[in-house]
Amino acid sequence: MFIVVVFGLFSIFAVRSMYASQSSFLQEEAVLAFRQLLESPLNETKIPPTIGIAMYKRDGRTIAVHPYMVNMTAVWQLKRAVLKNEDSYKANKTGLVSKEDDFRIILYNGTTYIILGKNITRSKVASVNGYAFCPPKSDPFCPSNGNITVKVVVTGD
Amino acid sequence: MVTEPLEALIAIMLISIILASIFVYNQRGTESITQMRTLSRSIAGTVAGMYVNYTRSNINFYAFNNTYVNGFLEYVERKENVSIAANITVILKNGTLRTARLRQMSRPVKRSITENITLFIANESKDVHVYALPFRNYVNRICILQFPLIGCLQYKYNITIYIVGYYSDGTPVIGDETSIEDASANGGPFKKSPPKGIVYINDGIWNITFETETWKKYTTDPVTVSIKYNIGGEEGYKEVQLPNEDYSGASFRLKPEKLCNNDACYLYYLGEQINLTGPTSWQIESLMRDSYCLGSGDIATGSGHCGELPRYIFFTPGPYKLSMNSGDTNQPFFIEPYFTIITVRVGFNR
Repeated sequence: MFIVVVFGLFSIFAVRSMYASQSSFLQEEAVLAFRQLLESPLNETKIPPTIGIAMYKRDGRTIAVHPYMVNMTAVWQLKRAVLKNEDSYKANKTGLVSKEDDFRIILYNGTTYIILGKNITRSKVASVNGYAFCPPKSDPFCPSNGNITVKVVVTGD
Repeated sequence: MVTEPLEALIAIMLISIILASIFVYNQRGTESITQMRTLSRSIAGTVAGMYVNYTRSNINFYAFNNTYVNGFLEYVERKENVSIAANITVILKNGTLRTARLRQMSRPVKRSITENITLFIANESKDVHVYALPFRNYVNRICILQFPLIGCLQYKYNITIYIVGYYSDGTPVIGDETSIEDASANGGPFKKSPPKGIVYINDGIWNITFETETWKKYTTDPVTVSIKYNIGGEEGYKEVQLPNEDYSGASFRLKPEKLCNNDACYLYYLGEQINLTGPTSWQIESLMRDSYCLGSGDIATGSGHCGELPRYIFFTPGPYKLSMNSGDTNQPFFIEPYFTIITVRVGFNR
């Protein structure tokens, strides 16, 4: 009987830990956040602003978007205004993830990093890696070949 | 058969563990596919961004493909331990698809994910470029009074200059606010022509013609044409110096079969045929990038080859210069933006 109880408890904790570690919701949230970030432009007219860094052109009511082409003006706007401190981050983070979770965006051009969002890690973490094109000469951050690495980390409990 | 309660309990637990393991394994597999799909989409999007950048730049297709696309995809292959193939497909005006390979897979893979990004090159730039192209590379001199023993006594002279206005992405400047403010021809038989006044540009191209009104004597003095423009809000000045030579007799042009705003225009969608008059051995040169193409007869855009390049790849959106009879005659034209599909297949052995 003792063996069965020990085995049973072990089984229950094993299954529970497996379930708890997968963080499937966070993973899906990270994928959605990654896609929104690189496929949508920054829209500051909304409250909270829609957080995105895709290149776009507005012509009257029409908007043409280039997904995965980074608009560095939007990146600096996020860093200097939308996500510049704890208060603005808290007020605007729901423009990318749910209010219970936090995010961190890392852009890497081969030599330097730009980090946006909150630099904390809670009990569960999910991340998505990918690439984007930063038009050379559009900003000093953009490398000569235009390739940058983008990582979106979503963390929650 | 009687089953012991203890055995039944153990059996239920074991079955639960197996089911839970299968559930978790499947879920992780799905997550892995989702992540790979996101990675594939970002790779396809990056290549699409490179193509958009290429259409706005002066680099040629080889530099775009070898330096940018393949350099990036090799880097991703090493970093992510994947194998990548990429294609570019252009959609012609009649709906035909033409595909060219940018990269093929470097090794066999177990599974792969394919992502497509469709692009329409919109006019997004207000960065204006202006190009002045003489219809002939010299002052055109025509003898109008010929005596058998004495030779030619009286001549008429004419010059035509095309002004081409385009944005950085290769689309033509269009709009009533665009104008040639003034133009004059100085020197030779023209001395100083009267100002032309404002003329409006239709669809990126306008021509300005100067012709001597009266018969003139023989002269070989060169002529300078000065043009003041305001194109797309960009004010500027162009000067073209032309030597004064004898008329060759050759006269080739594009047939202006199309009308834009009730005027002849030279805008073509990829896949349209460009018809020519007269004998037609030609060279086409991009005004934006270092690429050219030789051929003869009518020009079927979007098909065939140009050197080692497929012609539909050569004809990226933008302004082109058509030269005939070894540069004797020039004619600008535009290839209109078209839809392009970037396809990326990411293969992995996980």
